Amino acid sequence: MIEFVGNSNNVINWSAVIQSLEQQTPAYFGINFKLSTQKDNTLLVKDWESCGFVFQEDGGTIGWDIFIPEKNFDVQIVQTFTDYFKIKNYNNAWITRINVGMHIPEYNEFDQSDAITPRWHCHMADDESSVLYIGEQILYNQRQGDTYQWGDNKINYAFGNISFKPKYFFNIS
Amino acid sequence: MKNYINLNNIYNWDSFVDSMQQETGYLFIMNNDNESDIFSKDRLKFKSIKNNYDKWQYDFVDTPNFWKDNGYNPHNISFGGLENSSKGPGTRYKLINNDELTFKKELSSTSLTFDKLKGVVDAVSDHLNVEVFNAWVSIVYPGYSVPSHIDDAPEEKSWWSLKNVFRFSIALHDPIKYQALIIGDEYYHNIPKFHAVRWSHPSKWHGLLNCSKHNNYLIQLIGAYK
Repeated sequence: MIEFVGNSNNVINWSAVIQSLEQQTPAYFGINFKLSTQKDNTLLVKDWESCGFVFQEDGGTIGWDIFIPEKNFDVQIVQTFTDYFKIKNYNNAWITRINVGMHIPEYNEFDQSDAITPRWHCHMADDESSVLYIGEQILYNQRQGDTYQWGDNKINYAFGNISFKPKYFFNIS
Repeated sequence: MKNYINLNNIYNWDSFVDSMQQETGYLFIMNNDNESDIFSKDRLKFKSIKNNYDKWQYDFVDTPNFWKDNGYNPHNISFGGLENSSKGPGTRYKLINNDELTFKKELSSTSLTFDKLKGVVDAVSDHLNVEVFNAWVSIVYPGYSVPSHIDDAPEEKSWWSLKNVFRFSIALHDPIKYQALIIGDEYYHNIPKFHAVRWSHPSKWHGLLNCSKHNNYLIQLIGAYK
């Protein structure tokens, strides 16, 4: 269940956050981070490689960056966001960047051991020629600040960016 | 709710799809030094694929530099297709400097063909009372996409001013989640098999996105209503 919960553009200057991130090195490369969170990451790697996905580090198109609070952006942004959307508890906050021509591909969530928790994501800029798939939902043409709550942080998702600028998402789970 | 044109009953599509996979196609790769990587992946559903620079240079004139200038890694752009054999010799653009992506205009001809497309073209032409100028099958691999662009081949641009010009994209398989056709501000997902999307105009910016584990196949037709 994915639900639109509001727009945060009035309380956070997302354009300024993006501008700051553009000058920085991400904390993690998303694939490495994703694989490090899996109990057995060979299943995911095998699944992806079997259908021809080529990872960014191998010169391919599967890859994304992760920025984290304190290291890459002010923790006050997390505070303002959680206050605004009345989020009382959360475990992680991070920003995902998907560069032009890059993809977060379809995948199976092999690791179901952790508890299911809610998740929120925010479009940090207006959408252009990009699509976010979350479960059965398909999101595109979203406005800067548009925020959605996911009932389940384990739900499958995918994203592709064929526009001319990197795409940024703020995430909390 | 999108409006699709149902072409399910106008042609023996299953036979077409079967035969398509026995054909040789062309592959667009902006830079060819990763060609061996592309071929090492067992994910091409055509009998064989050849890198066709003539075709690339003809169909995409300013687009490669535009993509490059806007942050795309040339190594990461590859997609393929099959083309109608009825297309005769014409103006082509030969790549003369790969680093600068500059082209020289010359006469050439399309060397890779697929006669079965003629059957599709005839069936669609009869059914919709149109004349088809160009037809091809596009293929986009898993985890690859066709970045947003306009088709800027001079021949194609010359058709844009025609009063009844059209472009159709026909789905050749059941809908596959995580695939999208983007035409201007319109996003098309889950296009029913053997149904056509009619573009608002062939000059629109467009692209194909494939985050799925499967190839995406569409027939592309450009022409004019009679």
